[in-house]
Amino acid sequence: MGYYDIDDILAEGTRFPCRFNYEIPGLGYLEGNPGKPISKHSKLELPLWMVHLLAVVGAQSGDINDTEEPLPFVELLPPDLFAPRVLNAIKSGAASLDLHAISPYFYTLAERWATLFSDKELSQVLKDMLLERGQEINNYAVSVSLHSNQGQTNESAVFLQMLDEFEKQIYRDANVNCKEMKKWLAMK
Amino acid sequence: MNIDIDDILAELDRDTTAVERESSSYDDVGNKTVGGNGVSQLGDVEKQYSVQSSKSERISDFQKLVTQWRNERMSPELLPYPHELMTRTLHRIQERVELIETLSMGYLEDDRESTVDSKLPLLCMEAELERLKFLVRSFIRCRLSKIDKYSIYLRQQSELPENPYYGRLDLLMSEEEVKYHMKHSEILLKLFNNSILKHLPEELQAVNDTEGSISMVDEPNWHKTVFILVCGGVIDETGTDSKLTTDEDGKPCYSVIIEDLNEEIYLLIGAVYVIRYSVIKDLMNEGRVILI
Repeated sequence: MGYYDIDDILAEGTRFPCRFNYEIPGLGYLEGNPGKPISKHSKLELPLWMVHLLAVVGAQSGDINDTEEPLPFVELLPPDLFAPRVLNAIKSGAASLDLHAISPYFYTLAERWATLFSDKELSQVLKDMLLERGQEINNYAVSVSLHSNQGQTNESAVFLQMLDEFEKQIYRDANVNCKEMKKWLAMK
Repeated sequence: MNIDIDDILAELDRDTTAVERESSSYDDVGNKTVGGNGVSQLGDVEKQYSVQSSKSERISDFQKLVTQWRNERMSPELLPYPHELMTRTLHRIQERVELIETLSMGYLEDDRESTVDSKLPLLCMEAELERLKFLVRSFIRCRLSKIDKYSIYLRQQSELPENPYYGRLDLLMSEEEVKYHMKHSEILLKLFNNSILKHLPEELQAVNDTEGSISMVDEPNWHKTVFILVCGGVIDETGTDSKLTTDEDGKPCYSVIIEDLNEEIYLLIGAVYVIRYSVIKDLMNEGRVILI
C-alpha cells in the first residue's frame, strides 16, 4: 500500500453507497445537479478516497457547548460487496467463487473496510478465503508446461478469470518462478 | 572404566593441524607461482606477499560479501554499507586485474618458445574475477534500487535530530551512494515540480506530506515475511553467545517475541524459518541469522 501504487489508486476509485447527514450548499454537483445544495438524507455513491475521510470527520457546528461526538458528514451504508449474501458465498466455497465479478479489487477494499470499522468477522472470513484460494492458485501456477501456450487449458483460463487483481499478482509471480525454474532444470 | 580423553586429543589435534595448515598454505603459494613464468621479479614478490598475508582473510571476506549480498537482496530496508569490507574487496579486484594483465603479457612473450605452459590458471583467475565482479555489481545495483524507492524516507530519517541509525547517511551508504541519493532525488523533484506540482495550490506542493489521507512517504515494509537460516556461532565479549538459550528439548536456540501476536518462538540453530523481518532484524544485524 504505497502512495504511488497504481492498483491502490484504482481500488480507491470504487464507489460506495452513503447517506448525507447534513444539508450542504453548493455540493449538488455530486448528485449531478450543480449549483443546488445537497439535501439531508440523500443517498449517493461516492468513491472510497472521498468517502473514507467524510465518514470520519464531523461538521464543526456553531454550538460551542455542543460537546457530543460530532456526527460525520456522511454515513456509510453497507455495500453490496460485503453483504451477507457474499460472505455466505465465500464461506461455503471460496475456491469456486468468481471474485472478479464481485469486485476486481476485493481484497484491498475489504482490507480498508475492515480497518475502518474494525470488523473482526470480515477479516476472519478474508483470511480463510485467502488461504483456501491460495492453495488453488498454487495448484494452477505450479502446473505449467514449458510450452505455455498449449499448457494453458480451458479450465485454468476459466479459473484465471475469477481472480481479483491481488490474486492475479500472486499467480503471476508464482507462475513465472515455476516456469523459470523448470526452464533452468531442463536447459542445464 | 572409561576415561574421557577427548580434550587431550583435541589439544594434540590443534598442534598438528596448525603445522599442516602452514605447510599447505606454503604449497598453495608454490602452485600459484607456477602459472607465471614470465612475471618480473617484483611482481612475484608482491604476489607472494599478498597471498600469504591474507589468504584465509580473503576467503572469509568473500563469504561475508556473499552473506551481505543475500541479506541485502531479501531484506525490505536498506542495510548499512559494509565500508571496510568493500574497500578491501575493491582493492583486491584492482590488484587482480593488474596481475592478470602482467601475466598475460608474459604469455605473449613466451608463446613462440613453449606452448606447454598451461593456460588454465589464467582462465581460472579471469573467471574468478568475473564472479567477484558480478557479486559486487549486483550488490550495488540492489542497494541503488532501494535508495530510489526509499529516497524520501531516507532523507526524512536523516533530518531527524536524534536518530542513531539513520542519523548519518554516510554510515548507511557509501560516498557514491550518498551522491547518487542527493542528485537523483533532486532531479526527480525538479521533474515533479516542473510538470505538475507548480500548478497545484501551495499547501499541496510538498512531496513528503504525511498529514494527508495517505502518507506520501514510502516506508520499508517492516513486516515483510522473509526466509531465514539460523546459523548462530557468534561469540561476543562474554566468551559465549549470550543470547543463546535452550528450548524444552535442550537444543540451543534463540527466543524471539512477535509483538502483535504476543507470541514467543524458539529459533533452533540450523533450522529454516519464514518469519517477519521486524522480529529478526536485530539478530540479522548481529550475524546470528541470515536471510535466504
